[in-house]
Amino acid sequence: MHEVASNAIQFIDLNLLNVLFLFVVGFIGGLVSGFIGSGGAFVLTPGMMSLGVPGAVAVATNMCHKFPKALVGAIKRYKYGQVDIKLGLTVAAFAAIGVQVGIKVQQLVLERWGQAGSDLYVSCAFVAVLVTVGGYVFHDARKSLKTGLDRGTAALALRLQAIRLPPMVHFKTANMRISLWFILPVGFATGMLAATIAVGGFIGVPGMIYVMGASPLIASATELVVAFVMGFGGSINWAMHGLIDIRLVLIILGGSLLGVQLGAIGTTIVKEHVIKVVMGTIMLIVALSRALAMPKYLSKLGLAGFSERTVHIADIVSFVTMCIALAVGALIILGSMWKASRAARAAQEDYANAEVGLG
Amino acid sequence: MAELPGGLRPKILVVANSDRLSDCVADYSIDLAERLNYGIIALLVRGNADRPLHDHRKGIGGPAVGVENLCSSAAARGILCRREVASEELGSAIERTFRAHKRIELVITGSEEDKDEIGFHVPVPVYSITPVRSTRRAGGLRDDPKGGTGMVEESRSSRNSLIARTVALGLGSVGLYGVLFAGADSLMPYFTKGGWYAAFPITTAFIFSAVHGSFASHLWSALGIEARKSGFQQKRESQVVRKRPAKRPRAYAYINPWHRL
Repeated sequence: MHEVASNAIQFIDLNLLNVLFLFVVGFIGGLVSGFIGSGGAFVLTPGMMSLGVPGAVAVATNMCHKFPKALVGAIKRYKYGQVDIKLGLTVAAFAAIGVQVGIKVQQLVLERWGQAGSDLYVSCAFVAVLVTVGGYVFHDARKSLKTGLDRGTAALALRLQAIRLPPMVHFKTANMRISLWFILPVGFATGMLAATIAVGGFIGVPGMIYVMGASPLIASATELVVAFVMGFGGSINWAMHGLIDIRLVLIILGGSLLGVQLGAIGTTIVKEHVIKVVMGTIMLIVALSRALAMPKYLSKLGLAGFSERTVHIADIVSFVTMCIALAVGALIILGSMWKASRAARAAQEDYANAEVGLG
Repeated sequence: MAELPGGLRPKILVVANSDRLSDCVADYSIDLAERLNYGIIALLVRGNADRPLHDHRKGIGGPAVGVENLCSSAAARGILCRREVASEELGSAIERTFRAHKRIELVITGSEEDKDEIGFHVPVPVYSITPVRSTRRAGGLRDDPKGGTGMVEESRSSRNSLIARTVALGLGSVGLYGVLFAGADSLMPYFTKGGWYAAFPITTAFIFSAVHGSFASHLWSALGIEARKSGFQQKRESQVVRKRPAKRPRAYAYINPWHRL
């Protein structure tokens, strides 16, 4: 396994184009992560594989960049008072269980249906979860956009908070009190999704918002704690197998540490519902991307008769769509930050320039 | 957070009854406005020609700043600030200001004498801030025989030190990257050996994120891209978690033990 890794590292050609690609994708991924608490990872793994990195090394390298990025983002947002460490660690504890179950399910699918079956399973999970959750988040964000106000705590969360099922846990920063039994499924699902599609936050953040009742700011910031814990544990595992390419990790970190801090700053400038808009948009576009990748796996399993050319084109379009998802998310974040800053500057100038002489 | 129209935002009225405001009045006003999410109206009253200016050589009133600098400093921290000038007596100027602006919640001035006079004309609390002779921070309150603009000098020196730190961290980051990539061929076998050698990539990731992360943070600050303290943070600071009161059994006293029959 170590020889495979060594060979793989020698195989990678670190030319300027590859370095720039990884740096830019790292920056955009970091920007999105710092803003919505997750994101970037789903582009980086296929992105590295497209540069010739073997799948296992790509996943290991991705994870090794994820935990320091999450740590820096969490520290930054903690200073803004947005992180509930207790909530993050509680969710992470259950997520760790979910990760182990997710890995077991993956292994079972792999044994039963091979690599193509495993890839199809992952793609189906992507599409099912992202369309359902992403669609709801986007729909909720649109309602907030229309009214211009945040919609407050979700109705389901209010009902669950009212149920006194011991042990009840109080979270000071999130300002909520809820039974541990309702946190368990959110954490478990986060871990399972992380093990399946490498992005647990697509369940974790909406779960904290709509099931537990945290605000989007708290949920997206706290998710960084969960991402750090899971990423750190996973990285140690991969590092012990010698599968981390530290050069790629550092190139990606070069961009993502810049981006994650900018994303964190952005959360203090824009309105809260923008977080839902970005999250919902990214999730829906990524779902489309994964749906476009399914012909390849269906063909390999003999379940569909797509031509090789069709499969090849669909594969390329799928990857490009995934990159577009990240780019669109980044554009929405930067655009919102720009608009909010301009509005604040204009208000300041109007206010300061209206000199009223009083005599 | 949606910005309130300027007219409806609560305000602090900062009164300078001379050409200059002292450091401590400006600092206190800005800090208070930021904490309360208020705006500032900086009123310069020029009407009292008989009043002596503060003697900066004796350090009375501390190093002084202009009303303009107050608004510049406030703006840099995202606080709405308006500068106004009045060429009449203090009392009249204060009354006119209160008629012209809604929601002035309190008044701050740098003189006890002014505070007493202002208090006669307004229905809100009036505070006077007097400087303490101390060096709480570099470039802070100290006797300045030249009576220079201490606030402006301090912000310039802190900006210079921010840029210096950013450059230093950037060089450190570049240095670390250079060392690792220059020795990549000899280092990689250890980083991919597995087992206890797993500490190498993990520790390296932590070190790089500490240095490069600090550089990134300083870089955005140096470029003027900083967090704004939103209403969310203030709302969170003022939130009181309401705990359910513990239900205690009530004590009942019966004079007549048969009263329930």
